[in-house]
Amino acid sequence: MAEIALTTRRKTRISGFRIVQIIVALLTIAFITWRFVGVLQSGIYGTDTWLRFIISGVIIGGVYSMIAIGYTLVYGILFMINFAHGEVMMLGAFSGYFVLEALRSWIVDPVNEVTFLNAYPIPAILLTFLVGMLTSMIIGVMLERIAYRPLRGAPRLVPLISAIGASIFFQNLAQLLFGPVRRIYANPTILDRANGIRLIVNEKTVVIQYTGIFTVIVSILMLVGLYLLVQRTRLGRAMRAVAQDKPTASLMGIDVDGVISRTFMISGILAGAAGVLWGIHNGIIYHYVGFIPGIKAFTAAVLGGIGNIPGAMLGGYFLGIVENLGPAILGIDFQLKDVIAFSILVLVLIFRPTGILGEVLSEEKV
Amino acid sequence: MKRFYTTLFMLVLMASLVLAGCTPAAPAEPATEGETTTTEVTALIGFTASQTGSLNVESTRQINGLNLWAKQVNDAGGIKLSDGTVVKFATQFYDDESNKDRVQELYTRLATEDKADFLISPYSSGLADAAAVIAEQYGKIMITTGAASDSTYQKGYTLVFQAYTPASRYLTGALDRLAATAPEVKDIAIVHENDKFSTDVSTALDAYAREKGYNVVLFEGYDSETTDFAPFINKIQESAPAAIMGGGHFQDGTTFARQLYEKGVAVDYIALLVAPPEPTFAELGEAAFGIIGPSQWEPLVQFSEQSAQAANMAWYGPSSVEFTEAYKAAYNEEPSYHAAGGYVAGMMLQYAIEKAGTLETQAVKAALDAADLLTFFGHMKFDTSAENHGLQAGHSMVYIQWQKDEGGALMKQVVWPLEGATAELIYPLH
Repeated sequence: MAEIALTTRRKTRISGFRIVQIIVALLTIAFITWRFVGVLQSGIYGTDTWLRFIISGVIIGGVYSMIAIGYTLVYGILFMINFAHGEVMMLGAFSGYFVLEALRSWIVDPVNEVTFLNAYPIPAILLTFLVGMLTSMIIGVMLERIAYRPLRGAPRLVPLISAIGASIFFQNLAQLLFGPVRRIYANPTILDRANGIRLIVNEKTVVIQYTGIFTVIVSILMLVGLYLLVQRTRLGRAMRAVAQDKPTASLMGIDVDGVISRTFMISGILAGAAGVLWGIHNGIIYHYVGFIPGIKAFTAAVLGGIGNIPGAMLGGYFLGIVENLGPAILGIDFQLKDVIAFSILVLVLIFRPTGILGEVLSEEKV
Repeated sequence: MKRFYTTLFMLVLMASLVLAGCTPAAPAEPATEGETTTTEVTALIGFTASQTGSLNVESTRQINGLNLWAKQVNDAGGIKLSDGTVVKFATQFYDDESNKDRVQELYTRLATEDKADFLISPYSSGLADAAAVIAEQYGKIMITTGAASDSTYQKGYTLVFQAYTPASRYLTGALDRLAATAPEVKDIAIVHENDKFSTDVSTALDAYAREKGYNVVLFEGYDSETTDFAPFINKIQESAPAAIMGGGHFQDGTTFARQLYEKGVAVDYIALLVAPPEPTFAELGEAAFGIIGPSQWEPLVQFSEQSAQAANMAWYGPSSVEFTEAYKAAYNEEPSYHAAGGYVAGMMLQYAIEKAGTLETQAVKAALDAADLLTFFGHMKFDTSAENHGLQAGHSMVYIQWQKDEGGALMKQVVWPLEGATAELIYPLH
């Protein structure tokens, strides 16, 4: 009892470092508020523009959160950052692109020159997602088998370096196979990027692209599906067990390697879907397209608490919105949006290394 | 014993074959007595190409143009120097991966190990600027092409000569065009790629616009790798300019133009750097319609021996039609200005070597300094002042706009300068 009381007292004592942290946090908040009030008073942006910033943020946030889940799942189980995850997404995006191109050149009605893509848009989109997810899934699993499994017992830095190597390898491979030119995603007419819901705000038109709405809906559906899978299924339970304690899980009859493999499968599927969504909404893909979103999604995963699935979802949306609103709130140039995103990473690591929702710490890690 | 003779026979046979291979081939017709034998030398042209990386589209075209020139000169029997020596050209190049560090490494190699006689710059201002230092350091003449930044020529170099119109005059014509049609427009937005060339052009344009009384409502840069322009487009929509100018290179420029269209940005006039004059820009479809782009050269613009006479200037090289036809025959595509730029870089070297009558660097440099001529690419004249040595002083831009022909197909039309215009400007776009 006395011991508990002692610990409590020790915890309530505020260290010098904590005071510095609080001061820096207060200064940061004061600075942001000061800039924000300045921007609002000057009236640089109207309501319509604020709305546009938020819409763009939510859409890109949906993609970030799907990629972030991949980081979090792998980290939760292996305690390693799979830096090649962005490239897994890029390769999924490329395979989706080739499916769309094939369907676009397949003319089903020669009289009216109607392509399969426009004649059957829903099966076409489903097929694109299927191929994109399957490709990324296979690459994810192979990546684990070749680049990470042989290093399972090695110090943590070793698989990290292997991951960075794999990332560069995939970027170069894609450049070699598909060339350095940016490819344009051919959407079916119902998902034409130039169409959308037109709102009149502040006497100005704000367009919400159908592809944007589609991106957000698909990402939410995938995230809910994944959450249910992890929480409600046998595989999910096995994944959680492996994350908590590998040796014990193994003693309970769980095939640890199999579970790890399936984790990479799931994160690959999500990355593939994110890649296809990126192509459908932004319209442009090339060999480098996975890198920056990959790093951003990693930031999102850390922001939400790495290893924590709802945290990664939240982190993704939060980062997308902050990236779009941040430069406006601070009244700075939009070319600094990445600076804001990565400054948040630094601030989170200093003030709350466990992220917004807290990192799920397993026995092994503790 | 039999085996010994067989081996000996084989050895003798092999030795005779090797000797036959080493002996120079006998001339078809022996030179008659008293006739001077012409010696032939090969001048090595060194350069790097961005076969990979973000600049590969423009760079490939530039190299195609340069190779076409070298092939044409060699096929025509080379250049005759004053001492009767015939010069033919060979090229040596490496892939610079669109990377500045690689450029410096490779140009050093070209100058020292490969012993290139002359250098041609890589594509893009950033890379050419990196190469120029090396050219000057090793005393090699370098013609820069595909590189428009002014600053490279303000560093006191004496051997670097620019084929393109400099960045400071790159987009100013687009503003003049706008002023000629819509003098009431005052609000413009400048959104540009964050690299050296695009920043130089946009800064010069900004200064020019302010001088002309324009109100630059937005001036922002974006990263070269940007694929999501939503944040910039949101901001453009807020500042509601009548015209958007800027852009960067092909990849980001096409992405920007496409997303401006897809997000329904209602502006009356869009002028972007580099990308619009490329023939493949038309692949954007509706998103390309109405976009204006400055071009160093267009097949549509006709400079000829007659126009040189009319302007009282010296004419040199093939006509636009001749160049266009030769390029089409060689590469099966319409030449863009990058291709013409590559060709003219080689051609200026040829002109200077012919004038100088030697391959000696200082004499060729003097010939380039004195050059003042009209070519199919336009007026070629270099600044010889100490502050701006080598800066292009003669050449000027033409501006094209993507319009539609009667069948609704996209086609380029020259809209500025007015004396070279092939169609009326489509204005406003919305």
